[in-house]
Order: sequence, then C-alpha cells, then structure tokens
Amino acid sequence: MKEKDTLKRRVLIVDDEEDFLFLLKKVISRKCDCDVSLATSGLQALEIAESLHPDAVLTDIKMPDLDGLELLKRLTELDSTITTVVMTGYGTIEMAVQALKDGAYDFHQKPFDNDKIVGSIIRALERTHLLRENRQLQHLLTKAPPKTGFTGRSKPIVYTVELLSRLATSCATVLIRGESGTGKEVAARAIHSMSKRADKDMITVNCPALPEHILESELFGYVKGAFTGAETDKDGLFLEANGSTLLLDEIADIPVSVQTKLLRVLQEKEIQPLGQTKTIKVDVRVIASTNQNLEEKMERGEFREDLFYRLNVMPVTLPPLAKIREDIPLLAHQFLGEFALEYEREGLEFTSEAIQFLMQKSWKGNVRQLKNTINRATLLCKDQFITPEDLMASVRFDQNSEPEPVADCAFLTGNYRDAKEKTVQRFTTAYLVQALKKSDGNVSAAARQSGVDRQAFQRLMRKYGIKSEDFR
Amino acid sequence: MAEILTLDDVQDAVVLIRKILSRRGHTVHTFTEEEDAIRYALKNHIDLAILDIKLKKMSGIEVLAELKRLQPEMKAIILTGYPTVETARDALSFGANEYCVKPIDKQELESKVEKVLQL
Repeated sequence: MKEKDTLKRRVLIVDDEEDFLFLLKKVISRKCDCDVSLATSGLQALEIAESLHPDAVLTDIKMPDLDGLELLKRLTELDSTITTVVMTGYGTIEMAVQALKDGAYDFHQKPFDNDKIVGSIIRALERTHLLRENRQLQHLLTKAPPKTGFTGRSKPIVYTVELLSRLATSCATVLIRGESGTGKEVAARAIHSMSKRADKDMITVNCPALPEHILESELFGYVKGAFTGAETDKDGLFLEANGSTLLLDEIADIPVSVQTKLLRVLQEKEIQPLGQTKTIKVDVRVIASTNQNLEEKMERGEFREDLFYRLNVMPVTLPPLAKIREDIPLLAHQFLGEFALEYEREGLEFTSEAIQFLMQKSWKGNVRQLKNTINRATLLCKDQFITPEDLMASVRFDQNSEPEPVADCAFLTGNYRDAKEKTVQRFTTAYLVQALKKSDGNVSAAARQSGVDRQAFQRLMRKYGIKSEDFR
Repeated sequence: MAEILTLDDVQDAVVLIRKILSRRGHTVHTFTEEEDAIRYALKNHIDLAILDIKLKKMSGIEVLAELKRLQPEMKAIILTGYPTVETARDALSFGANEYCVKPIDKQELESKVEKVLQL
C-alpha cells in the first residue's frame, strides 16, 4: 500500500481563480487517482514544478505574471517529459494552434465538460509515464557497457560487482579495502557512475600526497586571512563535491587532526572552512579507500575508532588477483585488446604458454601489475604472438615484482627437452636480472659476484636478450 | 520548387490554390476526390499537402493520416471553414504543420506555404 502511495502520479493545476481551482482539484484527484497541487500564478507554478516534477500540468492561459503559453515553454525546458494541458475562457483557434504547436498536449475551452478534462488528464499522465519509462530505459542502455569496470566471472568478482551496484543506490559512506592494485579507485568510480550523482564528476583526493595543513585547507576550504598566504576565499573539495561523490584515497594516512574534522562532516553533514565561524551544509557522498590494516592503526592510536565506524558503514573488500586467478585469461585478453588498439597492433595474440605463464605467476601488484605487464609486452613483442619470453621481459621492467621461483613456473609440462630448455631460460633470465639489478647494470661487477667469467656472462645476456642499460 | 498536392471537395478552391502557388514556381496537383489524392501519393513524391477538412467521404484529417503513413516526411497544411479546437488538436497530432481558417487570402497562403516548406 505504501509503495502505491509513493508511486501516485502528480498533477499541478494552475489558474488565477481559486474557486475554480478547488473545484478542479476535487474532480481530478478523485477521477484520475493522483495527487493534485495547486498554483494561482504562472511563476508560482514554475516554482512548484521545479521541486515537484509533476507528471501533468493543467494550466489556464490568461494569468497576471506569467501566462499559460509562456509557462508551457518554460516547463518544456525544465523537463520535456511533463505533459501540459491548456485551458482558456477566451480561446481563439489561433491560440489553440499556437499552444499545440508549442507542445501543449491538449487544449480545452471553458466552460468544459468535466469528463473531457478528466479523459485528457488521464491520457496526459499516460504519456508522461511512457516518456519517463523510455528515458530511463535509454539511460540504462547507454550506461550498460562500462558499468563497473570490473571484468571477471569468478565468484568473488561477481559478488563484488553485485555489491557495488547495490551500494550505488544508497547514499551511505563506503569503505573500500583491498591490496594495492586491486582496483579500489575503479570500484569507487563504479559506485559513483551507477549512482544518482553520476551527472557530476567524482572528486578524488589522494590523502598521503598532501601535507597535513594543506590537506585540511584543501578539504574544507578557507576564508581570506585565515592564515598567512590566504589572500582570497577558497572553496574546499567538500564544497566542490557538493551533490556528488568525494573519494578519499588512502584514508589511513590522514593525520588525526584532520580525522576529527572529517568525523564531524560525516556526522553533521556540514563543513567549517578555516577561519570561518559559520558552518555550511553539504550533500556529499564519501567513499574512502585504504590498503592498510585500519584495525592495527586503531590499536596504535593512529586512527580514530569513531571515524572508523563511521566510514565502515558499508565495507567492500576487493579480492587480490590470487583469489580470482580463473579470471586472469579474461582480464589478459581485455587488456591486450585495449593496448593493441591504442598502439595500433590489432591482431596480436597470446600463445597458450603465455596465458599459462600469466595464470601461474604470483601477482603481488594484483590487477594493476598484470595490466602493466601486458601493456609493456604489447609494446615489446616483435611478431604476431605474445610469448612467455615477452611477458618475462616485461615483468623485468617492473621494479616491484619479485623474482619468480623456478619451481613455480609453467613449463613443467610437455616435452622434457623443451621444458628443460624453458626452465633453464627462465632461471638464467631471472638470475642475470637479479645480478644486474644489484650491480646497477655493471656487467663486470655482476659477473664477478656471480662467479662467472665476464665474457660468459655477456654471452648469456645476449642469448636471452638482456641489456645492461636497462639496469643503470 | 516544391511538389504540392491539394485536395478540396470544391473544384474552384483547388484551382485557386494552384493559380496562386504555381505563380511562385511550385508544381500543384489538384484533387477533389480523396481516393484520387491518395492514389497519387502512392506513386509520386509530395513535399506538401494542403487539405480541406470537409470532403466528400472522408475528413481531411483522415486523409492526412493516410498520406503521412505513405510519406512521413511530407509537410501538411489543414484548411477549414469550420474551425474547432478538436479538429485543430487532431490535425496537429496527426502531423499537420499549420491549421488555417478559411477564407484565407493570397498573401497569407503564400507565406504559410513558404514557412512550412522551410521547416
């Protein structure tokens, strides 16, 4: 029953004769099953329409401030799905034609038969309903493909995507947790883009990038003279994000003093710019993200417990790549497609060994590392196929990647001789890379430390395509 | 210049329209029978139809609907000696670009035709 009430259609009736208005209200609210609002002038009607977004408007033409034809135009500008029916006591055919050409749905001459007006309003409500439904569907369609930015069919990803879309519909604060490279910002963007706030840009603040006092003034703004150097008023990011979403990236790193202020914003939904006594109401959805253990930080007194509970209203934990290994082929192909297009290398493919390699490698840097690896491999690869060697060469560039344990490799299957050759190759590559890293690309030093003759070391480097310049 | 179809149950009326508009360089095809006009529209391109509402068997708005079905891009002007809000509403909702009250003078007809053709 309650749901039906909220779905009730809204009709706005505009006429400068109040008695007539009440009479119409009685008839229409009873026979059209709708809520009726009344306005006695065009300007008042416009004001009500802006906040109420009625389904249908029934308006007189002759009114003191804003006549019905002008109101019709303004309503169409405001929301083209509002259906307007025009009525007049001084109707000429020209006026009717003009009103209809301007987009009025129907035109009635006073005095009129109540049944005719009722029929007209019922059809008008139906028209609006169809237009709005259509608009909604189109909106959904255009938004469907980039929806979340997450690719994958594994259980944890399907669950995450579902959770994100459910969170998008609410305004609650969300805390996104997950290892580095799992897509915390992607998740925040997904929530924002699926929410009602999607029309406005999401604002992202990288908390550790800003020193304490700057972070505070950036977030909350300041007034002229609040501190030395504050020569003009400045709106903070909270104000800039009004009506939108604010992502506080790496929230664990914000100083305790800013945490206190942040807590107030979340509780009171108002900000106080530096140097100002008045507070300003803001409507901002806050999404926070972190890869740190906030519980530990709380125990050490570095993170306010009350802020944690405020942020943790809706927690989302993104799975590390190791937990969604089955999605690696899908992700790899998606990234390859993107980069191949970007670098005009369409038609590039992975060999099956390359996919095996990707599946078995440990990805400390998660999806981001996988993506970077494929990015470089797309650039480095010499012919039509990306091989494990290309990927390894690419991983080498990654300063953050750990050397691969030999036993973990993908080549322990198939022909013995090939497998051995590949394993030796992987081992040697990894060994040489480590040695050269340690010596900052100095071949003689690397060879000496490895107990290998310098010429032999160089021969190996040539064989596996390793260049000392890469490590300097 | 435009291909114009005009339909009225009174022969003099369509002849007058042809006289006025052909002087402006348009080709005007005149009809007094609904079926003839629709049959013509089946096979020939029309830029603009000028239709009276009161015809022999059908109403001009019914003919308008039929012509629009055949040629959706076609523009239309509805003429009538008995204007009502209802027919104005119907005419516009079936796609007429103008709804004019007869008698219509030469200048008004010329200017309405030019206006509609420019849409």
